[in-house]
Formats: sequence, structure tokens, C-alpha cells
Amino acid sequence: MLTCKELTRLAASGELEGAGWMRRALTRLHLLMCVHCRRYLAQMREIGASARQHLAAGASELEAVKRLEADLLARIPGAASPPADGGADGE
Amino acid sequence: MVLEKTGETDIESPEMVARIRRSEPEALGAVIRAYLKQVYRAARGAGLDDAAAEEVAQATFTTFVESAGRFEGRSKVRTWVFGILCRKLAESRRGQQKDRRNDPIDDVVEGRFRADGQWATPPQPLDDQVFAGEVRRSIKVCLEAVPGKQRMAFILREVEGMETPEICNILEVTRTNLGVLLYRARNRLRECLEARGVAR
Repeated sequence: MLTCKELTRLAASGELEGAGWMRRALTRLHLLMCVHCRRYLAQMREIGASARQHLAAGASELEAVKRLEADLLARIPGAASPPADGGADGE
Repeated sequence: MVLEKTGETDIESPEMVARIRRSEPEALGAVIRAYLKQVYRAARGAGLDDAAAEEVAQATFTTFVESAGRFEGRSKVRTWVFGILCRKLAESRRGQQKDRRNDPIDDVVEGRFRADGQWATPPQPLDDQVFAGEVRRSIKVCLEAVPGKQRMAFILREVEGMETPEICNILEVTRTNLGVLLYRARNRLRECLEARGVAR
């Protein structure tokens, strides 16, 4: 049987994702019986989902990236100048 | 000769890698187009403001262009580019708080369990919606308190969606080390978010 401490360590370290079938089965069994570990895992998932959503680039950052891209491309040794319209196209 | 846009999957092909190693402008430009946004996002995720993130992204790709001839092609191009980024971030962090063998968060988490491995102080029974709301409000603030390498491990896994082998290559850590970094980062975040949620 997995203890709560072992399960939460496997979850937080990412080891659970690559775990074999036995470990996954023991995990599912533990979670059926343990509301605290269910809550812990749900919170971990929420944290990951929020990080993906809220750390994605906003509109002003995309503008910065476009400027930076144009600058970097122009500095490549041997590169031709970009077309007059700046080559703008949607991401 | 105008630089053409290339699909991201083409970047990692043997043909493109060979062109990168020959420092062909089109190939180098294709890498910049493919990965600049991710690198910039990762730099922001690491805690840099707009200006600093732009600076480090520019430095990363400048180094990439200068050293393209030395790329051996043993790792993915993306891995190599992110490796440059992480080394630059680490250089700017030198002298600041370092990841340690013994981290206070380990004691905090340890203290939540009894000797038999059961919870002594389980996660607070916050309503799921309350916790989710707190995460939205406070994740950026709580990320500030996560030390550099732990934070990068979390960003590369959760935001960039990279797999373990690639992250280990980029951060130059073992699988075990990466597990420790993620464990500490995630628990730091959870403790911070719970404390803020409970305090409201």
C-alpha cells in the first residue's frame, strides 16, 4: 500500500506520470479512500493548468516578440533585408 | 533571398540541422521564428520583466547564431536553444539565492505527515472554486518565491510541456534531481496558494 506521503511525493516530483501499472493501480486504490490526497492532486492539477493559462504571452508581449524577431532576423550574417511591409503575417 | 517561414517540425529534421551547422541564414532565421516566442515566454515565466526578458531572449539567439557551427546535432535544436537561455538566466542569478541540498520547503512538507506516512496536517478543505480563484489571483506572486532552477523546471514542464529527458538536458540535471526540483517548486506553490486562500 502507498502512504499519503509516498503518493504526494510521486505526484509532485512527476514520477507518477511514468509509473508502472502496479504503482498506478495502488495510487488509484489509495485515492478512492483518501480525500486528502485527492484534494492534494486536484490542487496540483489546478496549479499546472493556471500556470499554462496565465503565463502565456499577452497581446503586448506578442508585439515585443514581433519587434525582437525582426531585429534578430536582420542581424543574421548574410541575411537579406526583409520586404518593405515587414513581412507581417499572423502568428 | 528572403527568409522563408518553416514549420516547427522541419527544424528538427536532419536536413535542417545540417543547414544550421553550416550557419545558413535561412535555417538560422527559421529557428528564430520557431522558438523566439517560447523562449521569451519562458524568460517571463522565470520572473523577468518585459525589458529583461527581451534582453535575455536577444542574447540567447545572438549566442545561438554565433555558435551555430558548433551545434553537434546530438540533442534537439530546441533543447540547445533553451540550454543557452537557462545558462544565461543562471549567470544573472549568480550570487543570488541558490538551490540547496536542504531546502526549507522539504521540512514544511515533511511536517505535514505523521511518522507512518499519513497526513497530520492535510490540505485545507478549501472549496475547489475558492482554491481555483486564489490560484488565478496569486500564481504569479507565489512563483516569485520559487528559486531559479526550481522555477525553470516547473515552467519547462507545465508551461512549455517538455518531457523529462529534454528538461534534464536543458537544466543539466539528472532525472532524480529534476524530480526534486519539481517536488519543491510545486509544494512551494501549493503552500503559498493555500496560505493566501485561507487568509482571505
